[in-house]
Amino acid sequence: MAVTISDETLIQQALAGRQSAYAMLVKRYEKYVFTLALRFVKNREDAHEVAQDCFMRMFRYMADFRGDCKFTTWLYKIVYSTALNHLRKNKPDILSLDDDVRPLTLKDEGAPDASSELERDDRNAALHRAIAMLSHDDAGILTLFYLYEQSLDEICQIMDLSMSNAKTKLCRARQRLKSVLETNFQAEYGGQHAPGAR
Amino acid sequence: MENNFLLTDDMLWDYADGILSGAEKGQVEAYLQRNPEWQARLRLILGEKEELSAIPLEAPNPGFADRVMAAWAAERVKIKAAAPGKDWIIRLIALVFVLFVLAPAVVMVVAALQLSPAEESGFSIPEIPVSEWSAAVQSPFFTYGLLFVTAFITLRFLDKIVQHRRLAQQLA
Repeated sequence: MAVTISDETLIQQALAGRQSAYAMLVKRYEKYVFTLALRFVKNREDAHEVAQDCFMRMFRYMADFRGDCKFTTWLYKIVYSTALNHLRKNKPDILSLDDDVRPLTLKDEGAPDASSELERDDRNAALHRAIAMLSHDDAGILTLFYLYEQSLDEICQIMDLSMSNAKTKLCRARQRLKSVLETNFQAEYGGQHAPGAR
Repeated sequence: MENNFLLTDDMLWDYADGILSGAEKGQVEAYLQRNPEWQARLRLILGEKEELSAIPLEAPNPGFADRVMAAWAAERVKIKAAAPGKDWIIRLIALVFVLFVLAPAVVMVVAALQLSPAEESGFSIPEIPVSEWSAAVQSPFFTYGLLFVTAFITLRFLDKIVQHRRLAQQLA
């Protein structure tokens, strides 16, 4: 029977100099870190760079992790700050959804398949691409809240927000996602089913 | 009061997300009981929430973890290399300390060997060499030695501070 080693145990082992513990932490969180990085920086190449930087920073500052929050919250805070640094350095003119011109254009994916399985896949893909079209803050907060199941308190820690600000941002992110889905993915979402739609 | 309450879609989302306060939650629940059409909307929202939480994670390119580990190994080597002289300073201080502790013993042994026992008679008790510690303390050897050790300890301390700062800058 496979036994899952807890994050705390892996951290202790890593701090004691065990190289395999570092590797296991990377393997365990590479998809989470990469996905969140991708939500922020919007392209895979930069996301790889940011994700690698995150793990480097995680290793360097691991001794500072005192366990007063969840390890994932601490890790995602590193992802958020690393991604923001990356954006500030490389893309100071990044556009938000509030801007008139959107840089991303969508290809026509064709009509959705009749089967419900494929339809769900289509909706999933549409949702995925719609999130990719959001600003990094909107995409980040939606990913953290719905996909990574971080509480609003934890999101406040990660993104350095007040509770009311986090609530407002989450609400606006949902509304913008709805708007993107209705505008660009009518076929998959049919308007009234978009998240946040009345 | 409750009759004036008007449920909005955003509020229903907040309710589904579990981020409403106790009073707001109560109002929404009462409203939902009175308005079954909103219950259907709530079910829809819960389905959409499920979709949002079921988006598959993106996988990095194959070999990503190996590259991270290689970068980490390289960084550790770099950090070690960025702290040259650490070992030789410690060894030198240890050597000076050992010499300082052993020096009086060596002096005593040398003094004892220079004695000339049994020169006139066949039997005599060798004299026990007596060190004049006050003279030793006032000697330039002791004074400069002490200065030397103090200087090394100070340098070692400064070296630690500089290394720590350099490391902190690298990590920042």
